[in-house]
Amino acid sequence: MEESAAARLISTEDAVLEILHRVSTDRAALLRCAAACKRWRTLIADRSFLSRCWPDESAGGRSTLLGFFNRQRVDIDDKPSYRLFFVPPPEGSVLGAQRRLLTSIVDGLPDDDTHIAKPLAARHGLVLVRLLTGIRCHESVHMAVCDPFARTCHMLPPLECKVSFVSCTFLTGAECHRHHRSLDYFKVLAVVSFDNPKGKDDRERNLYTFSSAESLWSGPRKCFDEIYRPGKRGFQFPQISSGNNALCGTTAHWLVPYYFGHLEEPTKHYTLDVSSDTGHTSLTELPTAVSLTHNIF
Amino acid sequence: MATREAGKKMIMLKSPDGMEFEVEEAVAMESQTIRKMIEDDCADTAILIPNINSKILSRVIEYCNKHVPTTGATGAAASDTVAPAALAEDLKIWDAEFIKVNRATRFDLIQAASYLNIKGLLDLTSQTTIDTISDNSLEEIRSFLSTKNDYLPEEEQTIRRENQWAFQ
Repeated sequence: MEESAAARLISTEDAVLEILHRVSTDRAALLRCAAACKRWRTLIADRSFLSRCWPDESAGGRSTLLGFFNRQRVDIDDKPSYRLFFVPPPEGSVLGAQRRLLTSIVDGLPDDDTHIAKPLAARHGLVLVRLLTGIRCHESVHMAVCDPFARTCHMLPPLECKVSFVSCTFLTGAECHRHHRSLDYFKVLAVVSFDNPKGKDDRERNLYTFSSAESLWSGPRKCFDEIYRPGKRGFQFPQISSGNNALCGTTAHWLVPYYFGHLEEPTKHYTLDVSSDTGHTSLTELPTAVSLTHNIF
Repeated sequence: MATREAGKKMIMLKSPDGMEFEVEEAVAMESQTIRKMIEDDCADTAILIPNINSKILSRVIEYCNKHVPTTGATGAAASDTVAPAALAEDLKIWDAEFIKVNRATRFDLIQAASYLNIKGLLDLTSQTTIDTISDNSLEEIRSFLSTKNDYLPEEEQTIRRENQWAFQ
C-alpha cells in the first residue's frame, strides 16, 4: 500500500514539481533530489522549472550571481594553454564552490588546443562563447550558446564571412519581443569587422543576426558609410570583444568614435543602435566627447 | 454575496469510483481548478474529479469546509465571539490533527491538492515530505520516495565529487 502510493506520487509530475519547488529554497536538498534519479534530474534541469524557482528580475523576482567565466592559463606538458574556467563568487554557487572548466559543466562544447572557447557575453544564465580554432581563421566565426544549468550547449551554424574581429551581444527570451518569450529563445547580434591586411581600403563593418527560432544567420548589413583609416575620416569600431556595448530594451548600443583623419585629432562620438526586432541600424551623435578607455555600461 | 447567502448554491462533485458529494459552491471554490471551471461556466450540475478516489476526495472536502473564509451573516456571528488569533490557532490545531495520516494517504492528498490547486492543503500535506528531503541523505530520500536509482555508480560518483557541498 505504502509502496504503491509512493510510486503513484512519483508518476505524477505535477505533484513532484510542487514538492521540488518547495524544496528549492534549500539548494543542497534540491541537488540531492536531482541525484535521486534521472527523471527527477530532467524535471529539475528544465528551464521553466528553474525560472519558476528563481524568477528573473523582469518578472519582479531576485536574480542570483552564478559566477564568472574567465580564461585562465593552464600548462599542459609544459606548454602554456588557455582554457575557459567557471569561477564561482566567494559565497559559492549552485555550479560548485571551486573553479572548474566550462567543458566540465556543459556537454558537447569543444575546448581543447584546437578549439578555444572565449566568453563574449552572459545573460539570464546563458553564456555566449566564440570558438577560436588554433589557426586564426579569416573566413568564418564559430559560436555557441551554453546553458550551464541544463548542461547544454547550442552550437550556432558557422557564420561564413571575411572576418578580422567580432563584437557580439545577445538577447534571451526574457528581453525579447512578446511573441518570442520562450525560455529557450535567444538572438545574437554580431558586428563583424574585416580589415584586409593587403588592401588598405578593403574594410568592412557589417551586422549579422542569428535567431534561434530560424536557426540561421541573416546579413550582412552595412553599419557605416565611412570607415576610418589613416588619413581618411570615418568611424572606428572599437576592437574589444566585450564591454563595449549595452542592451536597452530590445536595442543594442555600441559606442563608436568618429575620427577626422588622424587618431590624435578631436573626434565625435556616436552610438550605433541596433534594433534586435528588425535588425535596423542607426547612428546617434553624442553631445559630449567621451574617453574611450574607461567606459562602464 | 447576498444571493449566495439567501440560497447557498450547491455543487456536485463526483469521484471516479461513483460517489457524489454535494458541497457549497464557496467550499468547492477553495480549489482554484474548480473555481476556474465555475467561472468559465464549464461546470454542469456535477463535476467529475478524475484520479481522486472518494476516500481522498471526502478528506479534501473536509479540509475545504474547515478553511472556507467565514464571511457573511453566519460567519460574522462566529467571528464576533472568537478572536481572529484564536481562530487561527484553532485552525492550526485542526490542521495538525488532519495531517495525522499514513504516508500513502499523505501522498494521495498531495496529488489531489496539486490537481485541484488548493494552496493551503498543498502546503500542509507536502511539508513533512519537504522536511524529510531537506534533512536526509540521498539514500534516505530514495527510500522515502521509493525512487529507483538509475544512475551508474560512476555517474553518481561524479555527481557527488563535483557537488560535494550538497552532500555534506
